[in-house]
Amino acid sequence: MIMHMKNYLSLLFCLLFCLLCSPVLAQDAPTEVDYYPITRFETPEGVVLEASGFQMMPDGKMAVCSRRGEIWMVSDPFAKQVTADQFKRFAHGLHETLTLAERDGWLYTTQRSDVSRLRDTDGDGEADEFEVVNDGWEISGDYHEYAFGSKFDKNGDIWVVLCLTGSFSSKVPYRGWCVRVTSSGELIPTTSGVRSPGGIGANHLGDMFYTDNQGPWNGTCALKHLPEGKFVGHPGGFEWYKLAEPFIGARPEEPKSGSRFMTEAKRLPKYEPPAVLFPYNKMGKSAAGVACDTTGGKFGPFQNQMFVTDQSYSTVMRCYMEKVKGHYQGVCFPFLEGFGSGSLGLELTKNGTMFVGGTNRGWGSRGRKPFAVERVDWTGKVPFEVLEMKAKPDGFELLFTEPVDQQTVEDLESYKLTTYTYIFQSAYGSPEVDHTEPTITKAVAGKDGKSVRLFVNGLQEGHVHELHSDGVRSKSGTPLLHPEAYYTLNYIPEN
Amino acid sequence: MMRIALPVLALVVCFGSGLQAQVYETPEKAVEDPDFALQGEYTDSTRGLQVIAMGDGEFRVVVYTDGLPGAGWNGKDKQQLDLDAEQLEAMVGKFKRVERKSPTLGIKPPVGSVVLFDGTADAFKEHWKEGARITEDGLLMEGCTSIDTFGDYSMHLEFRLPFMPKARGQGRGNSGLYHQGRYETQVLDSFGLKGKDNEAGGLYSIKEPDLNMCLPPMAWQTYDVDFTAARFDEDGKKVSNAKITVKLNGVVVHRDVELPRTTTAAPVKESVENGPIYLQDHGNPIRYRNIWVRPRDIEAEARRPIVPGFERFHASGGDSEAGGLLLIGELNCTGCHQADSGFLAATSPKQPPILDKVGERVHPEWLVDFIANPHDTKPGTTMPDLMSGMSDEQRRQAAVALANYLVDGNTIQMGGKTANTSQGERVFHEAGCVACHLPRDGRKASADTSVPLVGIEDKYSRASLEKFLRDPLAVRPSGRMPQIELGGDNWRHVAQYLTGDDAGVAFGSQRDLPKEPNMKFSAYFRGVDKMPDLETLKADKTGVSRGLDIGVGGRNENVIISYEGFLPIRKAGKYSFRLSSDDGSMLYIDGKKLIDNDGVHPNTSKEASLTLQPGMHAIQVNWFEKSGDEVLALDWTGPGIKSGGIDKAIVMTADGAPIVVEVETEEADPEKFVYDSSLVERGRELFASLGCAACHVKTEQGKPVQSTNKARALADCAGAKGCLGSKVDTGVPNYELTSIQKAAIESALSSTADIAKTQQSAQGHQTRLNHSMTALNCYACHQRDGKGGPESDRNALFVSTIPEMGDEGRLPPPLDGVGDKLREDWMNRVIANGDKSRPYMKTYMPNFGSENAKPLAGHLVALDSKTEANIVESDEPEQRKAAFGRQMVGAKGLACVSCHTYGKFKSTGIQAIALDTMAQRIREDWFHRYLPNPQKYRPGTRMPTGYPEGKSTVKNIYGGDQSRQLAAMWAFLEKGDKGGVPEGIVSGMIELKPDDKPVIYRNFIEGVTPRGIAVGYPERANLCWDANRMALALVWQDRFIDAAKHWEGRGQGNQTPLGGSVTEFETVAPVAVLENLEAAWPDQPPKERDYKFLGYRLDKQGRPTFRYRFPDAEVEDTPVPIAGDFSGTFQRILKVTPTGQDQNSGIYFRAGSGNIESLDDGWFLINDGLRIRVKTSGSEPLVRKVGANSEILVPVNGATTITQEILW
Repeated sequence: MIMHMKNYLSLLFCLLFCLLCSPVLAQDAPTEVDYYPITRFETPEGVVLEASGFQMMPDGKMAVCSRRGEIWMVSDPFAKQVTADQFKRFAHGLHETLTLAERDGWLYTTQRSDVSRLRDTDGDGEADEFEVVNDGWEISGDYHEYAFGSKFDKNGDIWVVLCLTGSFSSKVPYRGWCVRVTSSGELIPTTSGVRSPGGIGANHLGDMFYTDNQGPWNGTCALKHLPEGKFVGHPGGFEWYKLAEPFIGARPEEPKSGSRFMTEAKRLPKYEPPAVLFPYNKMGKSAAGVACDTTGGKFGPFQNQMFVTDQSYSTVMRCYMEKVKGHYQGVCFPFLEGFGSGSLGLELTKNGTMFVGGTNRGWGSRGRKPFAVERVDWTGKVPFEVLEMKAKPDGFELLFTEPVDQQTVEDLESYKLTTYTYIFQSAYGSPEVDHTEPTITKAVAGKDGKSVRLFVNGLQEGHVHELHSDGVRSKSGTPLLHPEAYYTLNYIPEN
Repeated sequence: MMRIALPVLALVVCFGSGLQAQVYETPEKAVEDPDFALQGEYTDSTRGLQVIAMGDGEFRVVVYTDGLPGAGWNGKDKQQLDLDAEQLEAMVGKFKRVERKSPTLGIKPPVGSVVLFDGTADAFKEHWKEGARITEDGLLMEGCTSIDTFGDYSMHLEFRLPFMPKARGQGRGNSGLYHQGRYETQVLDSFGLKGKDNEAGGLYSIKEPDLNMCLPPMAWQTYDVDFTAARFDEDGKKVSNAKITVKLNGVVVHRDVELPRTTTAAPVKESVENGPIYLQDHGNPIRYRNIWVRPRDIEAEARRPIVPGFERFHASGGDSEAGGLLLIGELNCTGCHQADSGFLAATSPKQPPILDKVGERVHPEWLVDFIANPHDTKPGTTMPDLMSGMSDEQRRQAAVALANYLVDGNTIQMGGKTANTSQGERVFHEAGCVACHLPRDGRKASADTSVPLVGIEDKYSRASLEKFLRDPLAVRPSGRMPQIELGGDNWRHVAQYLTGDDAGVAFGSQRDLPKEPNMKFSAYFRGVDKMPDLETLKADKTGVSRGLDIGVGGRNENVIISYEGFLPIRKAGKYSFRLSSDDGSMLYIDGKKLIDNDGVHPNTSKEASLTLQPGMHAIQVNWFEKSGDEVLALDWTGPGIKSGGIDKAIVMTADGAPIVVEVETEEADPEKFVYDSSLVERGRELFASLGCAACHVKTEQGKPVQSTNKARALADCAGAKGCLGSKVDTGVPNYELTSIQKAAIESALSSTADIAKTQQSAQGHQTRLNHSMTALNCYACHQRDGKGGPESDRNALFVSTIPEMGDEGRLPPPLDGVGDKLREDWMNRVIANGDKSRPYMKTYMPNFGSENAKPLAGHLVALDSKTEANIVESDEPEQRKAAFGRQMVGAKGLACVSCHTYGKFKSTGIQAIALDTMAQRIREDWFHRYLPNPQKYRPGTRMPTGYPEGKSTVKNIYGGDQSRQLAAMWAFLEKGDKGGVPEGIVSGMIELKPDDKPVIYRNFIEGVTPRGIAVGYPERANLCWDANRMALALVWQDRFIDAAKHWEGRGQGNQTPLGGSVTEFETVAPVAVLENLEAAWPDQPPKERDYKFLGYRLDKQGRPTFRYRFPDAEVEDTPVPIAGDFSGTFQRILKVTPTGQDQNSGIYFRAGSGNIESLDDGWFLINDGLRIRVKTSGSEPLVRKVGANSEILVPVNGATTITQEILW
């Protein structure tokens, strides 16, 4: 009884304290949608629009492709409410078309069978010319054999990531590879080691990244860099080096099952470890679409950062990456949840608007709708977030979106840091392993008033560093909108 | 119509109404009232009508849903209308008038009956008290009492009600049949009424009939009654009520109903005395005839062997010789009595259970009881008592010796997973078990016709019964107990339900622990993942434990407990142990590890066994629990040990030393069977000498044991009175036969030679079929030639998942003409393997075994099969025919799919038998005759005809030609599940419909590479163009495609086109360069030859032109659909533009390949199915021979346009 009374009193005091000292907390705590509201499009009745990819067209329409092989044009896609009558079907009869790009009036799409380009020559709003750009990879008839294409890179190439035949093997050429399709229609095998991609996109510098999913040789989902000539983890498609050798050299040695990413990265120079791991069941379960914010601030404070959807959690995640010892690595944060279906396609338009396409067919999602076309607009308000998390030889540096409260940011109790990694193995997935609890010895606020330097004893190379900064407050007393951050520390920078 | 009411014959004051009523006493008189001809019963395909004459042209009509009472009525829904004659005539015009007759009408008195009235003056005088009256035409009149008195009996009586249209209620044709003068079964004109206790069939003032089975006035009706008198003690005090089972017009309206008192106005009081039959007089002219009573001794009869077919068809009369033959077969008389092969074939004797390893199957205690006293242990058994003349003690000794021999150290299978008793109950009552066995859920059926399951809970364990039920034919090859493919765990559920054996693994505190501690324990408080070496550890707690009580450690996590005790063994033999635990455990016997169940795991059982000698054995169980749930259980079984927990069996003295037990202690429980190997030899002798071996197979060293008991040949048995004598002699099997059974056997024995001869005659098929159907009890479910089908009070036990289907969805089909309808191989398959083709029917067709099936199907074919349909031959390709057949069965044809399913696809209405299995089941000849006239072959079926008055309701296919339409449908049905889903089947389809524009569908299409591009055109012609092979790969007609396979779920697998006449057209690019005309057409994949698919363009109508190029040319391929009558065709336009230097470099278009026949007008027939014609802007096509094939080649010289017409 006494215990209860004591608890009750302390709660009461706490509430009183908050009311007196913190006007912000007195109101409802801000949530994601206060900064980034989601607008769901009304789709035409009877149409199942399992939106997988987007492309802004020169005429201001938004092209949306779907898993059912259709492409729809949405006129006035930035309207406050988008209604069904704004949709018109541009093409049908494509094979699980997943991504789009545009050039010279042609709409390019990567479908299961090829990269094709379409156009409407008679101006009736429907495509009538379907030209194959390249169909140099094969399909065996297994549903896993998806193909995701990028936008055009600086050379005008589309990069295509090709899922394996299932989870383990590659029955026909280039399953489990990233290939480039050039503007002249050639196919250039580029990177091996792909397992089951969910999306592909370049960062602000034009370097290409894709998402791969938890499974064999992928302890958890990840955002991976696609350096030309390297392999990114799954040796299931290695057979096709016999075709790719002229382009990227000899077949590398296979990784050892049961090892760790960085053990193998040190042993196998051709292996590029994942840049950002998305811890399974924490950040999501099925990483998919990729887009980079190159809007120059029109979408908020996250310039040049990458966004990734998660299909099963119906979310969008945010990634900040840096290059350490010549390799991309970085951190992921939660960004936005509550999408209507399983988030798949992701597009950030030049004017700072995000489009998210959803489907949960075949794979369940938290968003219960079978499909969705949604838009995210920035309200102009800046959320209090960790903007960047950078690795240092002796810890991390956190940069915030807003000025911080020096006292909380320097209080070691504000943080909790653990590390772990995953088994790099041929079996399906991996639990978190090799847990450690490094000590944060010191936290020093930056002179800019918007950063903190954490000195850490016990950084672990090759581990995810899971940092919770629950105690940190902004200058105005706001807690972080998302206090958790997961940094994949493949390499520890040197001084 | 003239309507004249004729003068009354008698005047009666009606109850309640006070009206004066006409009474017509005979049918001849009744016709004088025109209303008489209109009243009565009517049916159409879905309803039954009972029309009651109310006098003066007024009628009451009762409309029964699904059919008349006792003939289809669903027992619930009825409507009542009051009509005048004119309205009635308009109504019944659409109905068929029926005159139902009781199936027992005219039945002959069985042996031992007292014939109370047969129309003769002698019988009348001899059996009826003074005052009884008889009409001039020899019918007994109401108001009479029999001179004879009766105790228990079965009786038959026929009565006729007068026509009294204006009378109402109890004033209309009232009389009554009093049993023993005490209990009245009402006689009253209750035609069309509610069925109250004071109406016909009612037990007056005691119980309403289960159904009002009263027929209209002037119809002869029957009462068949089994009556068991009340029993009284010596002081005259009643100890049990009288009991009665009543059939009115052949339908059971009371089953085993107790009569607690006499009914109203009974002339005789209840007492120990027998009583007369009394027919009440209410002043109405009721007429009676054919009355006989067969006195019975119910107690003695209860011990008779029950052969359901005999009880049903022969025990109350019927063909005595056939009944005797049935008994000779079912009692396996020929096991002892030698008979010739002809006779054996006629009886197809039932082989009793094979007794190898019977010890694993049945409890030994039951075995002893059963052998010693079969008729007491299992009344109704067909096993005879072989120990006539022995004392109880001698019987028991012999039975114990036999049981030891049979058990032979084996122990009954026990344990296994627990099951779901209520599921078992449901399955038992739905799957068909109750067709032969009595229901056990309170519902009633005739025990006489039910194979008894008395004592099944003492006989089997759940595990052993489950094993038996899964394959009864392994033990009982004669198929009298067929196998039912219940699937899943249902056998176990039923076994648990029947045996009540629901023992599972008992856990922790739920275990039955001894009252006093009987083991020592040591507990160690530590968390481990594996059992450590306890020798090296110091116990944290020690003490004594009641069995394996996991509570003794005082904690339920991070604890290890070691239990020690001593296990006394009284009999040498093999003992089995099952150690279950969560987490790890170990079992040691005499210091040796027997079971290792180590590690952290959920509850897991491990088993092992070993041979133990009598004496005391040390037992040690070590167990540890890390965290989570905790379980520890040790079960055992062995000679004389019922399977169960070991806890109570363990003994320990106070100081931990074993109690010394006498190895041969007295039998604590005399009922308990304890295996004694010394008795085996004695048992073996008895098995051979008593005659067990004459019937039962028991194998020793690979050979069945032979009987040493000699009996005379069957042919010499007639009149010998061995087994059939009034008192069975020592050494003679005692079946406890009733006099009727004996008489029947005698009758068959007296004509053994004739019986053997009949086998060879034309009658043989009919006789043997009837014999087999009776022996296998097919008649319990199926009717044939008016015989059999579910007994009236078993009828309701047959249920359907689709009640709207009525009896058709519920009752096993009648077998009239089945040998004409079904294919012989299908009948064999169904009888031998069982069947579940009718998913809506909850009852399964069981599996009777292939040996038993063959003769049955053979007889059915010989008796029924006809070939008389007019089947037209046509040269139309089969798959084209099948495509039209598919349209015929589809929604736009005869719409068969509105009732019939197709594969996994459900129909829109009831779920009638699947179309895709039809041709496996039925004969083509029958199909052609049946479809135009289903009612002729299956009266009462809901199946409509598509050909009323011989004209097809579908005009647009073959111009309505019935024969061609039927042939097309048959061609479709013959394709089974390859014919394609017919139109109109609703399911999870996403059908793509090119209603006004072509629809393109790129996905995985069956028969095409994964780069197929399917196009459906509004003209109802479809194709799939292969972008890997640059070929027009498939063409088909009618419907396009179902996208559900790829658009629901993840989309694995190839989809087959939805339409019909799917034809492979090309497998490789049809344009290529040939070095010369002898060169083979290149067939390696075009992409390997630098062919490149360029994509396609759509024209204004949305039709694609496919484009590709190879080093020598560019090709445009435009298929143009051409609309046809009810499906389309294609005209394909190819534009070939050579791109090489040499414009005549040997490029050809291959327009066709295969077996090519030239037809008129430039048409070619390819492979007897496809027709093509080619027009070209260049040189004319040429035909060349390449190996076995021919090819049509069109040379391409310069830019060339080729038109290819395609018909298929």
